[in-house]
Amino acid sequence: MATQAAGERTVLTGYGATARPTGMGWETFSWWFFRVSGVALIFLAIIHLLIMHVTNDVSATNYQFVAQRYANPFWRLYDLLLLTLALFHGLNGLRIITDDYVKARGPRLAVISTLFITALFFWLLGTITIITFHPGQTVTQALLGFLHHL
Amino acid sequence: VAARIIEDAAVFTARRDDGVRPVHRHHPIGSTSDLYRRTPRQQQRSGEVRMYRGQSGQWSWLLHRVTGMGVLLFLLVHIVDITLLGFGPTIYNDAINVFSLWPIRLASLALIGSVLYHAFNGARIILIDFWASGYKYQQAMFYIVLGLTIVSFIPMAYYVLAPIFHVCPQHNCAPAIM
Repeated sequence: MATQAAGERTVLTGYGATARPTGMGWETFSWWFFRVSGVALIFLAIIHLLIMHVTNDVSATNYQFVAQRYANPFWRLYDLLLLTLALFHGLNGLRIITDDYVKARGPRLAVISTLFITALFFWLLGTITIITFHPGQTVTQALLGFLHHL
Repeated sequence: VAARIIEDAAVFTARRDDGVRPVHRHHPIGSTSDLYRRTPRQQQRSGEVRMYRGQSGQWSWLLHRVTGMGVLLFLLVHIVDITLLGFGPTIYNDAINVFSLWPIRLASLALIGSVLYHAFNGARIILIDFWASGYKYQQAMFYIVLGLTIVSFIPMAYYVLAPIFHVCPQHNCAPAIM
């Protein structure tokens, strides 16, 4: 545990080499998920911004642009990874904020359950779009085709 | 004694807006709601001490939260607009034309600035966590984060705004907006 001089007093900060969580529970997993997904997102999100706003203008990123891009499965995987990490990083952040402001058990359960359902709903929405996108075919046709195959 | 009372009062008022969640000596993460119920003096005695005392660190934390929530809000909107891909080119192209309008271009600058700040400050937080003497340089790193954010924001802002003035540095702006 590191010490740091604050004003005239020396205080324990808890920061430094031993500040990492030590358990194997959910909060420890959350702590590591923030950092691991964060490092990945620094690159994924900034490269995404550069492609969509700097090397291309937003006005050029139309349906045909996506069709060309998604002809390469690499970009589908890239977007799927960006979607998954960003969504769960963000909604987990909102869970941490909820922890700070919503203390009562009932409302807390309600808010955190809503966050979890929101995460799942938006993740499914994004994932279905990324996976089923095929130029000239709607998502309904794609899903019907998928059901037909079963 | 007076100085300690003032300090504790400052810590107490800053409790909810603490830089980093209170850290307990034996259980660094978890049971936050229990920790928050303890008085500042109790926290002080058990070795839970906050890193920021209403200085630059407090601002870095506040900005991290606000930018994080802003980016998340846009992400949800963005998932919905991308979902329109599944309804064919007419609907999709019509919808995303909104992003080419000048007020939305201005708004997207807030998104770009938020992503850049949140990314660089996230790296700062990771350095504080994993680099043994990182906490000593948290303030210096905060100024580096601000500097990097501004330096990388300016050229990106130029690329986003130039098409409003019929200049297309990307060379592929839609003819309709030029």
